[in-house]
Amino acid sequence: MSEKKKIGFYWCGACGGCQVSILDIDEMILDVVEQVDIVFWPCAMDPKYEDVEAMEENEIDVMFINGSMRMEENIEMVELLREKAKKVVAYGSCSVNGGLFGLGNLSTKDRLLEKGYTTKTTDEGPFPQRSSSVKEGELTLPELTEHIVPLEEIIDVDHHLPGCPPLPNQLEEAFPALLDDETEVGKYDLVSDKSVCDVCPMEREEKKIEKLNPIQNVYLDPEECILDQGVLCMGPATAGMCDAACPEVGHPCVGCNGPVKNVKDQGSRMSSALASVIGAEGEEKKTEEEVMEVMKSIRDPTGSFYMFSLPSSIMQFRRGDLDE
Amino acid sequence: MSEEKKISIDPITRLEGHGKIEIFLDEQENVKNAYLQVPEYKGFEKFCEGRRAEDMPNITNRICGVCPEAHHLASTKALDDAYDVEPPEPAKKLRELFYNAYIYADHILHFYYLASPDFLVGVDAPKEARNILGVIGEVGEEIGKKVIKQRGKGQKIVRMLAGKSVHPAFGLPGGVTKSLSSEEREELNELTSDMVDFAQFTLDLFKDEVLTKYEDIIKSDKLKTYSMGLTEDGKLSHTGGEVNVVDPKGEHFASFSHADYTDVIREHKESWSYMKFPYLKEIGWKGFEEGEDSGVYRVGTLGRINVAEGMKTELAQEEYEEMFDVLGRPVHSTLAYHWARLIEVLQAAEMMEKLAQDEDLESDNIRNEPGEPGSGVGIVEAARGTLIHDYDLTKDGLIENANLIVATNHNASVISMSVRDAAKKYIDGGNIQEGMLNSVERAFRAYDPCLACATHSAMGETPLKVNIYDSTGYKYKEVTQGLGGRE
Repeated sequence: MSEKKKIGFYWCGACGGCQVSILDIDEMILDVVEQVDIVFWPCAMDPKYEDVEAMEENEIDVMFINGSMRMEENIEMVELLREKAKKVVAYGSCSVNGGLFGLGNLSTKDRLLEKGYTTKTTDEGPFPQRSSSVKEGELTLPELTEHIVPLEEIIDVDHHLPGCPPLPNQLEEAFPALLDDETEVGKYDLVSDKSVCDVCPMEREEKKIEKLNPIQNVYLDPEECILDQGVLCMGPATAGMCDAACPEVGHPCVGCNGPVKNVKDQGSRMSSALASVIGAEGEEKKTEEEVMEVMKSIRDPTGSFYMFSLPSSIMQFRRGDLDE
Repeated sequence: MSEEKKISIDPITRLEGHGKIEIFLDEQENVKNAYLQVPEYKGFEKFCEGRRAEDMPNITNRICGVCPEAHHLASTKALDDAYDVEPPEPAKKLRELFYNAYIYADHILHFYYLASPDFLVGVDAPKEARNILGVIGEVGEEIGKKVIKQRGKGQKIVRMLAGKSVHPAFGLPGGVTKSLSSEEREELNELTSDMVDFAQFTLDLFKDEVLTKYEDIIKSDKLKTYSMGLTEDGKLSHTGGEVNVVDPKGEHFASFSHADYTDVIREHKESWSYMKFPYLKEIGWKGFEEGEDSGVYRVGTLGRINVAEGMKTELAQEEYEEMFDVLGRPVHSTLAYHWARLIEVLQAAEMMEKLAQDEDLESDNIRNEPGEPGSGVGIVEAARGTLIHDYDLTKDGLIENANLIVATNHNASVISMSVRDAAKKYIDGGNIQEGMLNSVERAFRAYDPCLACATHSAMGETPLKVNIYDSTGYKYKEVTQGLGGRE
């Protein structure tokens, strides 16, 4: 039998959910651990940075990196991990598409800081600084990156495994495939080419809708397509590895898996899915004002359509100097 | 020449978030001071501006993947308040079930996966063994599998209601999206049937393996501060009621409802950490100090149990009484967080067992109609402590302003102080052993701190390394992993 594979997990700017997702495979974790040596897993095992630095090139067989590139030191660390790993897997939507924290790209790093440290309960005083003098000496902090970018804009990535976080069914497929040298896995093979709509138990009939309504104002019929009922659901634009977990329990898809395979821009996909049905009834007779009313009912297209994928979209970020 | 030395522990592993501890030594090589730094930030308050209010439970649950349910519910409750709507009774019960399943799974995760390696395997054990697998080695595979299974059952219940256990989708202003089918309620009965037994097993394990062996530490390691937590009719609550504060002697200090939190809480900031330091406004910020004259307070399992007059369920009540009998009241020992945590596991198990019998869980009456958008505050007790979401909405129901004060934020000061005190006790500057550094981390872990939450954010990334600096800040020695040295 061949030697055990060495695998590592690392988190950058993350919520910790990707780490938890690994535990959510329950007992299967014991089988995985049996087959591999986990050399690095900051939330559950103690090995430290030096252990990684001391490693040989390519010593880690498969390195799973989650989280977004939010701090300068995230970048240093992933560059080091790339040197030590044969394969790098962008694990979770943050590393694949920039993720939810990518909404920060609608602002600038200075404004992100300013708001957080001037809330109504926060005292006056200096904001966090790169370097601070305390009476015993000097303390340092890493800085925020200008914008969040997908992992593959920093280092070469061998596989994309999106999800917020990836679900047990995805891991049951991905782990054996990625750990077996005989199995060929393409870079995007773990991204579904089916949308959430394609795997949703509710059939979408592409009904014409007058306008979008906030979900709190609608009593949804659980047997009927959510979008057909005039409530925004990201199903048409979102990769369906989740088997429509949220619509299945009566909640609209929020788009957390990012775009389907071979689609770059989740938001454009959603816009076109919506354009053909919204306000389409008697469209030719509508005044410009009425059309505007319909469009306004979307309320926050940027935040809603790109909630998890702004950094990998064609927009990527908004230039801070433009929104004064 | 007098030389000051600095020790860094980074990252603090087995936490749900990255953190960094900097320890300064004086010329006698004793600990002079220690700083807990959180080196990461995300900026939720800013990028939530302009978002659709109803998306907030799904945006803010990404503050933390370990306690997404807490953010999800705090956010949902803030929306109830902002839209001036009360959910119907069955929706409240479904939220209660959802939340207890979370508390159950999360506390088990913390005790067995994150904290118990220090106790069951030992801080002096080789680092490869100080993890859940090492724990399984200690307690045996049968129990190990049981632990995994029980945690999984909590997650399963969350999934039943909310589609996903990490990043659930369930709460709406005025209600929830789903109730249970009769088949699902039957399954719930099955899932909850042995949770009480498991909770009691865990409490026994704690008493045998931790309490008896670490009694000295538990009884000596005290930090006398104010305590904060939610109570409902005086009983320990996670999801509703009013926030209570008791002083370091255990006397009532303040009670407030969600809308009035700004009257009681302010947040201090320091330029060397992305984490803010909340304090009691009336007392004021007096630095990292304990006692009645310092506004520092603690939240989380110990904060809650200190402010509660009792538990909501019978068996948990017995354990509550035993804990105070043994440790006195109020309890200030950092390591007692673990005991209080397991008492909450028992309460959650009893509550779910009872809820599973309730036909209301199958009701269709799970939503009430919201009013016009306004401002709202939602407060819940996350596993790690009081969690506050506060939103102002525009007339179109978009977020105009958000203020978030999360569990580990409230604890930021006490955690820093515990770390400092543990460093003073366990680190004899000239003699830095790995077990000693881990003891510092253990003090930290008792709080189950979620640094991701604390900076709506957060995690740092460097190594366990000991940097020794002279008084001018010049580094002349670096020791890795606290063992031996590398000049």
